[in-house]
Amino acid sequence: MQKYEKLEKIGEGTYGTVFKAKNRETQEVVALKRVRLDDDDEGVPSSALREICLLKELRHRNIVRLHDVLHSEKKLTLVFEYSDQDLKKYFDTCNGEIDSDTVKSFMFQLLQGLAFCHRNNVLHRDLKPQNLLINKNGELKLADFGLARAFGIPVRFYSAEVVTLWYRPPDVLFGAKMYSTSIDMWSAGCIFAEMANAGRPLFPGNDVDDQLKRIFKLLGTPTEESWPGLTQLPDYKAYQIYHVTTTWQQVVPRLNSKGRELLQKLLVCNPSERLSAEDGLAHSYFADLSPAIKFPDGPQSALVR
Amino acid sequence: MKLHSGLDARQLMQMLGDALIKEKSQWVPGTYKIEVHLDSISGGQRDDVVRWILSLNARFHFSPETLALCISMMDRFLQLVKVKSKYLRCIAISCFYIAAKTLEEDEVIPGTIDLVKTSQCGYSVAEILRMEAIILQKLDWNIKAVTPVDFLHIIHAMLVCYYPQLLSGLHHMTPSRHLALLSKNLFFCLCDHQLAVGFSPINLALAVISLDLEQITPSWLTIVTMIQQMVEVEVEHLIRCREGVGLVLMKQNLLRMPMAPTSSSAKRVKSVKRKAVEVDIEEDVYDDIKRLYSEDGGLEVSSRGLACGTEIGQNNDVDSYSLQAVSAKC
Repeated sequence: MQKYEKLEKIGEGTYGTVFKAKNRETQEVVALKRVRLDDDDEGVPSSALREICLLKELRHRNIVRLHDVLHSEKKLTLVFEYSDQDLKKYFDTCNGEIDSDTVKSFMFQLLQGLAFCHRNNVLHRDLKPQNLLINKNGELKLADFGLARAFGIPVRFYSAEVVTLWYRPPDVLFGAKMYSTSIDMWSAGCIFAEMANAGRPLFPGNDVDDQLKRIFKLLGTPTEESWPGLTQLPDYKAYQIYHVTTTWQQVVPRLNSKGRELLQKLLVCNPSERLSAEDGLAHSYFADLSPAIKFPDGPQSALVR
Repeated sequence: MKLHSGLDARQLMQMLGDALIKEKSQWVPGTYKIEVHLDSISGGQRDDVVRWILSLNARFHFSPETLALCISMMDRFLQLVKVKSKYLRCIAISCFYIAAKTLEEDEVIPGTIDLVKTSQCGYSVAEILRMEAIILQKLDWNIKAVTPVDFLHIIHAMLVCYYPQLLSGLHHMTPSRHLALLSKNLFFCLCDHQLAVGFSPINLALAVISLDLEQITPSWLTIVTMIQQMVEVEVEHLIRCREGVGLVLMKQNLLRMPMAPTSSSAKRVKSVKRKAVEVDIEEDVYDDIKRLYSEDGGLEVSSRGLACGTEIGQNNDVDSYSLQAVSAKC
């Protein structure tokens, strides 16, 4: 590892340790994600292979950039662009106060990154604040594609063991295996609410059962009428019928009415009715977003977006 | 028409465009030697190992995308590196493992020990993992490549979108079942090194589709010509590829009808197709339009068909089809 000078340990990823480091030649600061290969017999972990494959093809300002892959007998190192912190740490530093323009900017960038993934037929499947990186210019980037996968035209059964519990949509909680881009849109909704509440998670469930109850208490228990096919899901079971008693204003008091409307369109139990990232970006909540964030490459970039 | 996967015609066009751009930046034609040497791999040896991999899949049940990626990776590696034939199966099983880890879900990826046991490949875990590292390094971690299976899926979905009546004259034929038959044909072609590395993925996919369309619709030439112009495959290349595909399918008895360029009677078509379907595919698997492109997959079919296919006597009646009609009209 001569090319990079290790500076400090930043954290533990899904499959290895992450370090801050400096390229000795260019002085560029990078993040090194180190994957140990010697302690098991499975070779390069599938999560690392997927992350490398997908990130080689996904180049976008709101998706973390993979610079290089270094491979030796005992270890594999992925070299990423460096970001100062993730959204979870950002919440810790903002002491329960978050500026509404920042929420709007982060949400817009999250949807931009997601729309790009989805347009390129990639599902992230593990969106949560820890996996969204924030740099000092206020740029947000999707990271940790270890659970991500490409999806094709033939509909296939995917794993239902995806997405961290708090950000997992109700269809997947019921064991749905035929999901698509809507899986990420639910997580995006949860993160949106969490940002609006300066870091208080929307549905901090303890287990699958508790998670579903929390969701249904807020949104009302879905029925076969409101969600055709619900009762056919692999792990479906009937839940107590909760009626909506809380208003969105109580849930996200600091979010304006347009923001609440966007949030409601994301947090829809029936996956086929959940808003897409592309449609989310066109929502009127973002109408007054600063052009510097909307069109970071200048106004003409609006034409090619 | 919207497909079950929620994609519409505009998105399919975009997918096709993206895949073509990738292919342009990735694909280079290759060749295998005909003669057998100790220190190199011949085309025949390569074809044998591909058949072996496809037969293994009867136990692993990976998707057609995974199999196609495995074959593509192995061909790219063998075109890049000179290897002794005794390593060929080790390379193949390592590519199989890398492709599975890249595209399959964690629940279905076998452990290396299971892989060794189930495949009876004769290599140790350490040997496979060492080969894995070599392959990844030589390919510079460019594991993914656009494969003919990707193009087959996109173009088939476009046909379903634009010509919803296409299969209506065929008995018991659903889009899923039709795709399974096409995949099976394509995998026979991928067992032929000249087709697999000599023609671009889009060309091979289009050749397989065009031969099939010729058997099911009188307007096949119009449709094929339209796609051919859209994807910018040269007519001469397509014709050469079609000839090769025709030969391979004829040998497998999968191309029973002489390729009549004009006015194929629907009745004749019907009987040919029905027969093919009944021989190869369990009836219950493809019966529901809702399962269009669902998990059923052509892969099981392809490996099963392959096993039978080798036993089927060779049909040398090659003259009975000709491509002159295509060249004349294009």
